[in-house]
Amino acid sequence: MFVNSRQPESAVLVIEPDAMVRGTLCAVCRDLDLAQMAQASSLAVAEQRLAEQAFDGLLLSLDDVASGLDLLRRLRAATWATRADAAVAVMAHGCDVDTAHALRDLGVRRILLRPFKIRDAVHTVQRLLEDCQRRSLREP
Amino acid sequence: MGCDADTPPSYRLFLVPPYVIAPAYARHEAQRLQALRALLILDTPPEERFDRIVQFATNEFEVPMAAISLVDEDRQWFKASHGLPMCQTSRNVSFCGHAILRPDVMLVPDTLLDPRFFDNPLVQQAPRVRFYAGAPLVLAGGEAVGTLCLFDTRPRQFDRIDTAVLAALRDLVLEQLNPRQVAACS
Repeated sequence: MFVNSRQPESAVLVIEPDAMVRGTLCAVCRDLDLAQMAQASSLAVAEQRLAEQAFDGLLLSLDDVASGLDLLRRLRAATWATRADAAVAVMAHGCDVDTAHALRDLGVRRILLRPFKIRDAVHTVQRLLEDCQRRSLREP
Repeated sequence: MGCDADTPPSYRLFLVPPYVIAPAYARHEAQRLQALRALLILDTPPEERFDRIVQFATNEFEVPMAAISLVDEDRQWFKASHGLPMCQTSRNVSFCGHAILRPDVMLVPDTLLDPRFFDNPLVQQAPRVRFYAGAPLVLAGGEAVGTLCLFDTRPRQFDRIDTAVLAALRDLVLEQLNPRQVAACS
């Protein structure tokens, strides 16, 4: 059963090079009224978006592991307008032990392995929003 | 089933041998056909940009058959398809002819339980369609020229996420059709 876990103010940035995956996922999340959805086709575009707008969650393609981890480190260092503890999930073809440890240390707890279905990505966005909701409940 | 001469065409049902309920014509059928032909896409070769969307839909929904169907005057023609043994069918037996008459996604969870389709040749014979979902391709002017559609050989259910994904993929097809429309108009 579909459960809408939307926070009205929630905003999610999808960083994914595949236009069909990126566009379809954002369109579906908007249609389901899950969150405000923004998209970036590359890490460079993502940096611009992160600087311009505060996002509550990120869904990050980790096809380029080193660059993706670097972006996450800078996110956690409060480099941009987006809060440093934003909820993050990554999309990857695989994940070795070193990468898994690095992701864990950077507070990433959700990995969506490719190939995945848009339905799976929508569920991942829902989990991200639930993480945001839990975090906001913990805050004074 | 009969209908008198005063019945608007969009509400008529036509019987095709043996007893298939053929789709009605759209309210502004001539305008719809004009818009379809202005796209200059009928009977053109396959194109990767359309094939890719159909392949994506096939994988996403795990269906054996999917297509971009364009509903011409007396046929539906597939601009792109996967798993279908033909490139066109008579409009009289088409599911998509029905789907273009409504603005939202048309679902047939089990064709054998639907009076419009239980004795349709595409149901009773190969490819033995049991499930259909079709998202109408509605142009900027309001003309529904075809569908992005899915077929399965087993009954299935479609939830809110499925419907939203199909509608989003349909919008990608429309984005690809519209440049043609602009070019044709200019």
